[in-house]
Amino acid sequence: MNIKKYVAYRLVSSFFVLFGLSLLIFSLSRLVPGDPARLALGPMAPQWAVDKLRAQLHLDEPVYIQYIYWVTNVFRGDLGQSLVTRRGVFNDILEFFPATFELVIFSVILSTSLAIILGVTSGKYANSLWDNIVRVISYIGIAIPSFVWAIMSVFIFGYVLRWFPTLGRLSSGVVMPPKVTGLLLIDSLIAGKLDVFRDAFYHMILPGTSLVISRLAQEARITRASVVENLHKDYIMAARSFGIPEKTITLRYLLKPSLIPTVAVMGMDIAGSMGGSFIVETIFNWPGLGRYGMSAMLSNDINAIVGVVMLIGVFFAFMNILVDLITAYLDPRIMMKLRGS
Amino acid sequence: MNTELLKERWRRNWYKFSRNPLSILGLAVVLSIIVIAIFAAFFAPYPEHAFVFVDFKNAKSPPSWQHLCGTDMAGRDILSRIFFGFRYSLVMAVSVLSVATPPGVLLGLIAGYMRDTWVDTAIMRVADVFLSVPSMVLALAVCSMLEPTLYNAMLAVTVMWWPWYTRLVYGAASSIKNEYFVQAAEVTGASTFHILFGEIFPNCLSTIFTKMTLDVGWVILIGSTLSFVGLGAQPPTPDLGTMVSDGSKYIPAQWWISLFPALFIVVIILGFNLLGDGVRDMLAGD
Amino acid sequence: MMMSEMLVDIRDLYVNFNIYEGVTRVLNGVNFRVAKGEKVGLIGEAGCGKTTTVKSIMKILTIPPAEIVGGEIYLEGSDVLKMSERDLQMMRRRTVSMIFQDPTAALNPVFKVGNQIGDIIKYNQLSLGRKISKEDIHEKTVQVLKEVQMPDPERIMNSYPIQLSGGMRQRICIAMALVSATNLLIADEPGTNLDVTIQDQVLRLLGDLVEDHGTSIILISHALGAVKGLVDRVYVMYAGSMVEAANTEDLFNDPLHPYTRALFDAVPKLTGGGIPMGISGRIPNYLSPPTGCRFNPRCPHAKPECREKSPPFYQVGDGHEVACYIYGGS
Repeated sequence: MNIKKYVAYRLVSSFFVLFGLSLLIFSLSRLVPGDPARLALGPMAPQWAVDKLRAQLHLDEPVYIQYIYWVTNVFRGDLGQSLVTRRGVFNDILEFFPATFELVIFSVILSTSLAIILGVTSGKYANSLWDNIVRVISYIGIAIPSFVWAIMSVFIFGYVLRWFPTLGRLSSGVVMPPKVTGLLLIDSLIAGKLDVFRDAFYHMILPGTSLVISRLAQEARITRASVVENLHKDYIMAARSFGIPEKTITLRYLLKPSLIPTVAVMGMDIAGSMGGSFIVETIFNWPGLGRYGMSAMLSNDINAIVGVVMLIGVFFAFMNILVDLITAYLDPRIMMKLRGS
Repeated sequence: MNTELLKERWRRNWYKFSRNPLSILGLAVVLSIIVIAIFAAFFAPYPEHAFVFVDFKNAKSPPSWQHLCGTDMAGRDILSRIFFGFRYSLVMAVSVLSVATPPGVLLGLIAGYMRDTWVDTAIMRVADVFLSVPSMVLALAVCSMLEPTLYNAMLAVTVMWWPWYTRLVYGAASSIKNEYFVQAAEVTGASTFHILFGEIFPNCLSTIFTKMTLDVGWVILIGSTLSFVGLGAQPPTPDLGTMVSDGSKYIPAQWWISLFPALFIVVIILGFNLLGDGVRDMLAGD
Repeated sequence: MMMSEMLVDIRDLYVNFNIYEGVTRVLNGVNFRVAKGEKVGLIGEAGCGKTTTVKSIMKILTIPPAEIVGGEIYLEGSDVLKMSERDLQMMRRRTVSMIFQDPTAALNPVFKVGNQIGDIIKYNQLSLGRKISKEDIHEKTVQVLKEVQMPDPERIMNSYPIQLSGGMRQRICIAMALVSATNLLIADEPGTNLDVTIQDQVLRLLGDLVEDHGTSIILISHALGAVKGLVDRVYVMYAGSMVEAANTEDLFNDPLHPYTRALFDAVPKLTGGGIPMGISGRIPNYLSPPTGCRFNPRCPHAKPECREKSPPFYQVGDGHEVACYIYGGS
């Protein structure tokens, strides 16, 4: 089948999966012990207020009825109201999404570039001193959970060395640039405020590295393995036999096939980092979706929980399809398999 | 299988495994951790500090010869608590993997064997639903909805772990089912039960086992993250993640309260990862 | 024979491979010559060192684990083993090109075939001091594809290797060699991985091209019949050194070395005579090969001196050389 059919098939498939996800997360949130309304209003609130809120949220009706209410609302763009912020969940998400998006994209671009450089150089000079150093570092890196790196880097770089700030997106007293995209790095450049850019950039280093440290190590390993495997392939030897210069061989003939697994992993890392952001944003007080989601989960804010999880599910599904398409584009062998199905 | 063949096989496997010094290191680390965890009361310098204990005179003292990792805010010896903490990490890994793997594998076998039927689609779609969000998100969501205990944390991780095995075994089973020996079994009228467990499953064993050993590190990583956030074992239980979280308030002045548990978390995960890599390399040739 | 007459002159080449179990002594004093415009066949069993020998000519062996421990390789008068990196590159672009044994492995799977050919053209032209435009590269590519009898060159150029059949891939490899250097072509078992009929086509094509371009060729094969129709002279190789060399007809009519004889005897004959026995024994273990002539454990005529020292080439008749003590005194 051709590309259009394939994409359509994937979209429909994802739709069903997301439907299943909504059932799962919705039922989980409604079947939780405890009373979300009481939790939201606090122990001091009068019973009639709690009952009123329960009626509003349809909490006394059967779960499937609640679900139908929820679905119809979703199609109207209404994800319900957050019990914590008292605003529409949809609005909350819109407000907090850019911060997370910026953090994730920034970190993944950084980590992938670094991973490629490390992976290619250590692969090409396999078993050299550099290679061994990189391998040891990546073994350790994979074993570091993001919260561990967060704590350690806050201690080392934030307090001992005082290189980087440890909280929030901007230092207190720094004015945010006028909002164009919501991404501070871009907005500050558009507004021409380089000092704000610098401040925002510095603020992203510690949370960003915490988010991707383990993935960076993994990506470097995958790239290295790929390079080592391809280095001894016949087509590299053939290229050399025709007199193609070493540099061209490394930067084109070796790089392209070796990077295909890395690209696939990179895409999934972007999606997976949305999960890690829950922890990292909370530690660094980063005003993004992760912190919002984490606090929603800890305070049983059912509408927000469902909203955030669904959004992440949508993003994940989209990323999956995108990654598959990109790898097929890069590697014609995958494209042939795709067409064959 | 006769014992001579088995012995030869194990000798060969050990040779492959031992070629990489890192795998040996991983094995050594893992064995030490297991031994320490089981006999924590013996190895810990102050075993009574592990749970409920206060000694405010000694609280927050830095690493010294009496307390190699210092003491925490309640005066408890951190090293001893770390040793007891190994138990919770190991228990989490063992429980999660032993509970999540069988159903995951079973579903994968069925789906793979019945490929391209509604059974296949049904099972894999359900697995897809569980895999449709990053693992951390689902674990956090499930965990936060239940009471924060170690048991519930294990439950949450189990719930989102099984589909990985289903996918793994699905891929393996669907290719194995086309092999001649499976077709031969079908033709001679073997029951589906026999085909699944007698023919296909044994050929997936090394893949499953490899993944399990590599997964231990990941489960411990996620488990410690959950307890860090407060959703796992609660104080005063000496869980490593909880210890890091408790100690984070005292950074930078009393850095050792957080940092040593954090360091040991990395060591545990690293050990299991190295061991897992060694097992994978060992089984790869087969 | 003067060095300048020879295109390729390998003298006493020794090559080892350092592997985990030890050191394998793969090439054990190889002597090999190709004159300008000559077509030479190189036959021998799988694993006897044919590919290693020709890879040494182009110096594309993977070093390590390979290690060239002795000998000289003269290509157009200069010793390849002493050439600078730059000169080696020039040599690869201008003098020698190779057609690899497995065309699927020799083609980069993620680049279009046209791009790969185009790159070779570009660097070949660069080595001749000319810069070539994209349009000219395109034209040359189409031209060479037509030469190797590819239908619809434009479409082929835009295809990826995976989209082509085995026979087509082999032809692409030939095309790549043609646009590279054409003083010497090394064809390493062309078409072996393919259907016999396709292999036949490929060999015929090769024969025609070599005639048209006047190229020298080293044709490696472990199929005797394939070699017979195509080349002027044949080398027979066994376990790391040349055992016999002669003009094609002379070799097939009158094989002299015990190994060559046994080889020809092992070929089943359509005229009957039962199923042949094959050659008793096995090829040597390169980790600890037999001393002296490496064939001596399997040779029915082995004498004590055969175990002491490897025999040199003895001249027997016109252009016929044998490395065997039977044909020369001690």
